[in-house]
Amino acid sequence: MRFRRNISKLADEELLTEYKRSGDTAYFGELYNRYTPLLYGVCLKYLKDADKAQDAVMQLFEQLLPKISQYEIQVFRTWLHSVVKNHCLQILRKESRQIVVDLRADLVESDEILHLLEDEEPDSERMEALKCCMAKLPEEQRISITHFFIDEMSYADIVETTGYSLSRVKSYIQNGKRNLKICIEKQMK
Amino acid sequence: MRIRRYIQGHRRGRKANRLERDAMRDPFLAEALEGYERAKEDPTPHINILRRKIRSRNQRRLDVFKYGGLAASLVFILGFGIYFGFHKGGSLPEQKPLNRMMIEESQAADPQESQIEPAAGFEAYIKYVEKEMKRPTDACKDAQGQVTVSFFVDPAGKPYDIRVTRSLCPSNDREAMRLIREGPRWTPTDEEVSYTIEFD
Repeated sequence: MRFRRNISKLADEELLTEYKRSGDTAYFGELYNRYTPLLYGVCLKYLKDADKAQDAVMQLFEQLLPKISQYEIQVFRTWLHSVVKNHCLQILRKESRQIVVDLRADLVESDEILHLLEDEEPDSERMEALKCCMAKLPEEQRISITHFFIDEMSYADIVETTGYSLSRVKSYIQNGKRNLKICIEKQMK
Repeated sequence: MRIRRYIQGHRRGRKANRLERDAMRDPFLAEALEGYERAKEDPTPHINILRRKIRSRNQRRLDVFKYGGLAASLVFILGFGIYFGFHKGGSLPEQKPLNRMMIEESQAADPQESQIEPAAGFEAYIKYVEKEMKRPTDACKDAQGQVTVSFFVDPAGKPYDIRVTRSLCPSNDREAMRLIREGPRWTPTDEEVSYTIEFD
């Protein structure tokens, strides 16, 4: 199609505007397609079945196509995430399955600790506190965090090097970050 | 696309690490990766099928409108459905799940042109830089020239891992980094982005 070349260069919000303006489904299709890997993944997480997840992604597309022009959307990506989550939860409710709510609030951390660990923090006092707090961490947490943030090793790399299981590597890193955050805040007082 | 390679099972090395770190800042990515963790087989053929269906859906709609047979087709289909419904005892045929199509798909990658630029375009970005730039008032205040910064863009469009690749003077360098770090979003990309700021 002639105009696919042009529309793939538009930003999300621009595609949305163009769709609202023209009603041409190619714009929304292009926009939605950018997110199919993420959408499919999230549906897999909640529905736990490849066929159901694919159906859910297509159903959502059909549902949004007529309705999306009515919404005021600031950041499409963030909005789409909450929409697909709700879509999956609705499907689960219809199936009357028990919905296991993930109470792990630490899915997304605040940026501060990440900035520090990724060496972006110009504040040398906090960097000093970081060094001191790292030394205080339990060994597995310190090793995992060092490998992940400083050596830039992936989870799979760390599993191979340390012999820890994948889930333990992840929890060492999560817990390590939390401990560092608490320790650094104490130090800075 | 980096996420594709990861979910196909390439989970080693710096690039995989980067994606995993991105997931710490991006709940959408994090949940998607969780979903893929339990996938027993390579999910990319499914993703390709989904993409194809969405794209062909567009075209079908356009064609239908082009040929103006929509109303006629609807009446025909409805009529058919009611006819069969009466005969079979009133229930409409069960809707087949959409994915049960027999398609021989090659695992061809789905090329996407990615344009590296600020989300709102370069013009708006340049305006932002001009408006928000705080020229140094210290020993660097008379420095004139360019600072080039390189950075990565996280899935939310925010720059990170910002570093100076061409330096002018320390305060100018810091200001350039600050402008990027606090500035408008960029379109997400896996590539490292380079941007030059002029101090005159």
